[in-house]
This record gives sequence, C-alpha cells and structure tokens, in this order.
Amino acid sequence: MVQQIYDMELVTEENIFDREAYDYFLLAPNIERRSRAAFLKLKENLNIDKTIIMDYKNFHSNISQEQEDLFYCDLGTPLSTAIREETDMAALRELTKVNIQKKDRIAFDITGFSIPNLYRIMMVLKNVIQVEHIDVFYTEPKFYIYEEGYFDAYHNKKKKERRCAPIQGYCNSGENEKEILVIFLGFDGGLAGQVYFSLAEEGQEILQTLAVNGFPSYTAKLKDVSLFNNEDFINKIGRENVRCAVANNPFDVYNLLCQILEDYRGTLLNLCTIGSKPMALGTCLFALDHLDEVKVTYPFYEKTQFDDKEEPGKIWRYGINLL
Amino acid sequence: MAENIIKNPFSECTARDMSYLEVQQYWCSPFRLYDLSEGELLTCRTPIVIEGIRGTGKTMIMKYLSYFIQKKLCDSVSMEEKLNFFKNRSVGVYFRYKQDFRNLFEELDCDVVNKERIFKRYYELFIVRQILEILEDFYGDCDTYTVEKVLCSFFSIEHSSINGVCQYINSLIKEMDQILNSAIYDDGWINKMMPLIGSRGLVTDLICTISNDIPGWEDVLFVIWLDEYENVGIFQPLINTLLKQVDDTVNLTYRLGMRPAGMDNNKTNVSAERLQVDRDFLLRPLNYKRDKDYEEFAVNISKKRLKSIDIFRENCLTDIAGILGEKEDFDEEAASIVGKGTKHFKLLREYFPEQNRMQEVIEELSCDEKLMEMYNILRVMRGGQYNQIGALSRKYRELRDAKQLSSYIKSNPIESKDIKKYRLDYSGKYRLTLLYILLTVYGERKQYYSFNTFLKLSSGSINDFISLCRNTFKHMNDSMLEDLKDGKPICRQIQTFAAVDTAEDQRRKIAMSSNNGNKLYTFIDSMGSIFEEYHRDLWGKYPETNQFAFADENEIRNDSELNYYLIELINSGAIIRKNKRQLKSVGNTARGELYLLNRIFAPIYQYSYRTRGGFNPIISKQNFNLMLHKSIDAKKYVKGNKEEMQQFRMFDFVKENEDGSTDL
Repeated sequence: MVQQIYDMELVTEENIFDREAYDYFLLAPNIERRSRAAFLKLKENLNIDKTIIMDYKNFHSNISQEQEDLFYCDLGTPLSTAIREETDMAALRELTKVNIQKKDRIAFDITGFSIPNLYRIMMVLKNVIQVEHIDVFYTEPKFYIYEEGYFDAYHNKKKKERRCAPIQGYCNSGENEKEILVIFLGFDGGLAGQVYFSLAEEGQEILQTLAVNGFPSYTAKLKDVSLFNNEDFINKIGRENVRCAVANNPFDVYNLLCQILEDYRGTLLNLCTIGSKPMALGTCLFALDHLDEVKVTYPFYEKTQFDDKEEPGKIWRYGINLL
Repeated sequence: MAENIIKNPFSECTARDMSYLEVQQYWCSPFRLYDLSEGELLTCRTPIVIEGIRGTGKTMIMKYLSYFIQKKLCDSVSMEEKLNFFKNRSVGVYFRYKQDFRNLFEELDCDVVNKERIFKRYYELFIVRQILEILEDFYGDCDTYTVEKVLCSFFSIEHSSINGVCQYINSLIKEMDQILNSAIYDDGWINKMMPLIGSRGLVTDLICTISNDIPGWEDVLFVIWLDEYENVGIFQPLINTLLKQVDDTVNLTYRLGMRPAGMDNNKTNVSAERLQVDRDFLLRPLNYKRDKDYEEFAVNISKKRLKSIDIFRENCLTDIAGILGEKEDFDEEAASIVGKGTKHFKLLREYFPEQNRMQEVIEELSCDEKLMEMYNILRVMRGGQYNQIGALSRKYRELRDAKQLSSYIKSNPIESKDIKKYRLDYSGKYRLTLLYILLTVYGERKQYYSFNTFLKLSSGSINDFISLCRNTFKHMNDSMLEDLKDGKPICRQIQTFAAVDTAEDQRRKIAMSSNNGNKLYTFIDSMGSIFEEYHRDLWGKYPETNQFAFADENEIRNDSELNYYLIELINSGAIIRKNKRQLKSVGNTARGELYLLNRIFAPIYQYSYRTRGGFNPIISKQNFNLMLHKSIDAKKYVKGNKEEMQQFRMFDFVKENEDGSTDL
C-alpha cells in the first residue's frame, strides 16, 4: 500500500468535493488569471464563508481600472474583506485585525502574493493568530513565456535591479556564527548570481553557498533552464554545491533544509528563495520552525510586473499543520 | 585537457572570507608599499581613515591589526607580558558593515532619528559582544572572577562567567531582532523597542569600566576597526560623530576602511559640526609610489602562497615572474600574427596602385621584424618616401645589431636626427600600438600574459592580481607542471583565458553587486568600446588611449544623480581617478581630473594596459548620461572625435611619469 506522509494533492474535478468548507479564503488577486483560478474553481463547489482580498498597492501601478474591475467582478459573491493599505506592512497589520480564530478553516492561495508577503502572512497565521491548520493553494502557470528564447531570461524579471535585505519577520543577527547561504534557483537570468555577489561578495562572511534547483520541475526542461540561466553562479560556487528539491513540493524543500542544517550544525542558515512559490512555502515552513537558526533574505525590487497573457495551469493543495 | 588535480595556491582570494588563521598565513606586510606606519595605525589616538580602491588590502590590514591576529604575536608569554604587549600596541576590534543589514533599516516604518538609534544600539551590542569575546580569549583558563564581577556589575546582571555575559548580550540582540520582526504585525513595536535603547554610549562606558576597574587595563587602548564604511549609507553622520567625539578621556579610538569617494558627507550629529580631515581624523590612502614596490609586493605574496603548496615548494616553483614569464614579447606575438602574410602591406595599395611598384615597396620595407615592417608602412602612409624609410630602417638595424646606436647618435648629433627619431618611435614607445594595428589588419585578438602584464592589468589592486593568478592556476595539470619544472612559463593561451575570465568576472561583479549595476555595466561597455575603437585606428593616431576626462566635472558634481553614478563608478572600481590634476588631453589647455577605465577590462575590449597620456577623449555631461543608460555607437563617437583631432601629429614626443602617465 502506498502511504502518503504529507498532504499534497492536485486539485481536480474529482477530488474538489473532498473538502467541506472554508471559513476564510485568503488571496491576492491580480491581472494574472491564475491568481484567481483556485478561488474560482473552489467557490463553485464548496462553501467559502468569507474572502479576504489582499489588494496590494503596487499591483495597481501596472493595470487599468477596467482590468481591475474585471478581476473583482470575477470574484463574485462570498462576503469579502478587501484590505487596501499604503504599504505591505500596513496591509498585514490590518489582516491581524480581521477576526480569524485559531480553529478556523483557512485556505490561503499563495499564487498572487509576492514571496516576502507569503513569508510575512505565514508568520502572522502561525505565530500571531496561531492558526492550527491551513490549506495552501498554488496554481502553476500553464506556460512560461520567454521573450528571447527558452534558455534566456524569464521575461518578467529580466534585468531588474534588486536590493538584498532580510525579510522583516525573519531577521536574525545570530550569535556571531558563520553563515551558510542557500539560494533556491529561479529561471530569471543571473538573479541568483546577483544575490550571491550582493551577499557573499559584498556582504557578510559566508562560510558556504549552496544552490537548490527545482528537480523534478514543472516541465522537463525547466530544471535545465534554471541551471542554464544561472551558469555563471553555479560555476562560481562549484557544481558539487548544487542540491535538488522537487519544484512543486514544499515538504521536500523542508526535508532538504533539515538535512542542510544537520550538515552545517552551529551555523546560521541564510535562505533566499527566488525559485517557485511552493519552494518558498517550504523554506518558509522551515524558517518558522527554526527561527533561531535561520534568517531569510530576499532581493527586493521596486515594482511587481504581471503578465496578462499567462494562463492558469495545474492547481495544487498543500495541507499544513502549523501547531 | 587533463583534470586539474593540483591545489590552486591562489584559491583563497579575499581577506573578507579568510579566517584570522588564514590572514596570518598569507600576510605580507603592505606598510612599506603604501608608506603606512604600523605603529601609527596601532597606537595613534586620532582616528584614521584608510582609503583604497577595491582589492588594495584594506580588510587584510584591518584584520591583521585586530586582536585575534595580534595575540598570536605574543603566544606563550605570561599574563603580565601579554598585557604589556597590548599596552604598547592596542586591542583591535574588527567589525564589518553589512550592506543587507543596512538595507533592512530602509524598510522600517519609523523616522530617521529612531532608525539611527536602533542602528546604533545594534552596532554597540555587536562591538560589546566582540570585546567580551576578546576578554574571554585573553584570560583563557586564568582566574577571571574580578573581571566577571566588573562586567556583571556593569550590565547589572547576576554573577556569571564572561561567556555568560556574552550570552546575555546575545539575548539582548535577540530581543531586538524579535521586536523588529514583530513590526510586521504590531503597530506598537517602536514603543517596545525604545526602552531597550539607553541614552548612554554602551561601548564608551564599557571601555571606561574596563580601564578603571579591571587591574592592568588602565592604559590599554581599544581600537575599533570599522570596515566598509561606505556601506553605512544614511548612518554615516552617526559614525562621523563617534570619530568626532574621540578624546583622551576614554581609551577608545577608531579606524575606518573606506573606498575612494566612500564618504557621502562629513556631517555629524553634533549641531553644525563637520568632520574634518587632519583635525578629526587622519587620511591614509592606499596608493603606492613606485611600480617596483608593487612588483615586489606581488612577488612576495605569490611566493608565500606557492610555498604553501607542497608540489610547488618541493620543486622550487615559487617565483611567480618565472612561472608566468617576465614580460610580453611583442615581436614574437607580431610574428605569429603575420606569419608569412603580407596583408599589412595592403594598407599602401592606394598609394601604390601599380603592381610592380608595390612589389618594389614591399621589398624595400620588408624585414624579419614584423613590428618594424609595420612602422615602416606607417611612416610611408604618413608621407615618408619609401626608399628613404627603407634605408633608414636598414641603417637603424645595422647600428642596433652592432650595438653602435648610442655611440653613433652621440658622435653625429646632426646626421643622426632621423635615426634618433626612428629609435624613439619604434624601439619602445609605439611597439604596442604597431602590434594593435597588425591585430586589426589580421583580425586577431591581443594576448594578455606575463607577470608584468598581470601587474599592469590589476591596476594596483593586489586582489585582482591574485584573481588573475587564480584563474591561471586553475588550469594547472601534470603536463603543465612538467613544463614549469623544465623552466617553461605557463603558456600564453592559458594566461590569456585567465585574463579574459578575470575581466568578465569583475565586470559581472560590478553589474551585480550594486544597486545601479546595470548602469555601471553599460558605462564600462560604452567606454571600453570607445577605447577599443581607438586601438583599431590603422593610422595609429591615438596610441593606447585608455583614459578620459570630463568636459566639465563640476557640472557633473552639481548634478546629484550623475554625481551619484560617478561615485558608484569609482567605489566599485570600474574607473580609477588619477592622483593629480593634469592637462585633460593633447591640445586641451584645461587641467582637470583624469580617469582610467580599470585596466582589468582590457582583455575584453582589447585596449592597452599601459597608460601613455597624450590624447584622451573628453566626455560631456550629456554623453556621460547617455553612456550610463544605453550602448553608445563607438565608431560614430570616435569618428566625431577624430575629425576634431586632425591637426595633431602622431608620435609627438611625450615624457612619461613614474606611474606611466604624462604631464604633457
């Protein structure tokens, strides 16, 4: 008998009815259809009591009023709380004021959230509201669009200038121990290298840098795209320092990090996820469980860019106990 | 190529990544090179700012003079002797500013004053933690009851070991981390943070307590070595204030490590007071005066590294100049480019369209030395009579080979005028320019090899020299080792690969490491392409042009955005500002700052690693702005400048300074 030791499943027409209802569905809808895909699929088939829409300000800088109206219209009937604040931090503080209880059944669609906001919200859900269990949803993109060929920069993030900083909520000054930098590779050309140069070359004294590639990846080629686009960086740190974790499996990422922590006991792990959101979820869960041994860094950028041509792909559900 | 199985002696590249043990292992004193006084750095009460471009060894010096290395110089002595040792020197606390740590503060939603208070508290706790670690290490297994009593009383905690006090400091840091972390969901975080931040100067108070209450420490000076001052950004006034407040009442002073132009402003937090050089601090730039000293430094550093690897030490392969080859051989390079070809004579085709006449010209100007052939061709292109040039060339060779050149010139000052000019132009100064013309004609690329070349490419950054060696030695295998044992240097191709790799690494690093990396990259690319284009000039009118000046530098300084980029370019090491003001270019009577595009990029853009002086492109404010944002059409740009420069003759005699520059 095959026993699944973690709760992760593909959301299909058949298993959608396995769930009963959610008290809250938390999402950050934007111009990309996949940011709303899970919600639209679920709301037709099961009972969602309240919807919390995190309406981040920087999403609006790129879209017209017409486009904005369209995705609000899509969301339809469930009672919504829309949180609109000047800053991401202020939005998060508003979220803590919504009356979510620890035993509430919560669905959190991470698709439309930026990685730093994903981390921050998980921190609030686990450590402030002390939610016991959540279902996290993620909708893969159907296609990745490459403007200059498959083995080139993923166009959304091409040549953006980034500023590396700790994600607030996950700062850790440590106890003067050496750091191990763990970078989860993305598809965008050179970003891992940019982080590496910023942190390891110009920043702190790093004892060791490891790269984690998403393998198996969403599609067969993607694992190579991430390696190819980060070739310089991988040459710099040495091929022997590249590890793998399943691209859409946060639990695999969690286990890998447990192993790394074991291998480098007594150091401070500096995690930087520029790979997939499920990988970011895995690193986030690990960080939440090991706040004393981990810090999280992210290459922040000024403006989020969206792709209105992007189609929703597979929808995944991850059941997570936060106790 | 066989797999590399020989350990690379140059793999440990930067002091930043080195443990204190490695710093000690690879240490070569740079004090003579930079004319620095070790005594002054260790004991001077006035703060000192050590200023140097990337890779000049600031971190190495700072780490070396800090406690954890200095203590190794007084191993196995009594406690009293050890204390005396540090009394005569100082106890150095090394601290490095991390850029990402500073970036965190930009995210905080509180006013600048509160940000500064939090930043200062963190800084003080980090320094205090190090001081405690130093005390713990200093006393080792000795009785520390009195010290513990003093420290615990200072922090108002129950009696504990020094390590216990250290853990207490860690708990304070952690508490601050937690409050900072809670800011994402807690509006009141700042009110929780402020009670943790006292108004006293924690570091100053602790040092006063140590001096007053721990026996034997009354005269021990604490020196805080703050590395990467430029990373402090908006908090520079805070550090400036600490420097300003240094006085004789506390045994505490500071040393800052900083890149040129690293000080954004000299403001302090004390009313309108400014930090002043030679009054509040001494400035010690890491510039070497003589090429010879830099060469010697590179040789010594390399020797130490090569000796640390058995295979090189056992085979007496510790002389880097021998391993890389002393100097380039332009004649041999030219011969390998040209081979049996006569393509370079085609430059004369328009002057001698008739086949027979052309053949006669080729015979007249030809010789075994391809650079000399090229020089002869150039003289004809510039209006010389081919038979006269041919005769002059033969006479020059004859006298030179007979070693009678100098005596002939001396005894026939009037008749030898032409020979003298021939020697001046050909024998040293313009050989590289001639080689670049041949490279252009034959569509080949310049090779970058030899110890001398690596020294020049490194532009005074010893770290870049080590990188060049590291990238060369990474190819080392048994067969190359056998060649070295036979006295043959590492082959040119491998050295050239290494030079290109290093250049690309550096360019990529600049592109990636800065907030405006793409703009800096674009500028390097634009400027490099312009120099490349000048080097492709078949008439050799712009020999080895690799410097530039701004048409009006003050106009750039007064434009905050452009001034910011200029500082970033200097700080990142992309360009190097020369030490003294000079005439901007031949024919330009204005004096001003001259800038070098870092020579490390020369292998990418195929420009010379030497600095000749003479013509330098003058960059207007508009063009500077343009070159930061988009690729410039180098051909068009150079063509425009060439038209302006028609009146200047090539091979005008220009006297070189010691550093290779000219004062026109």
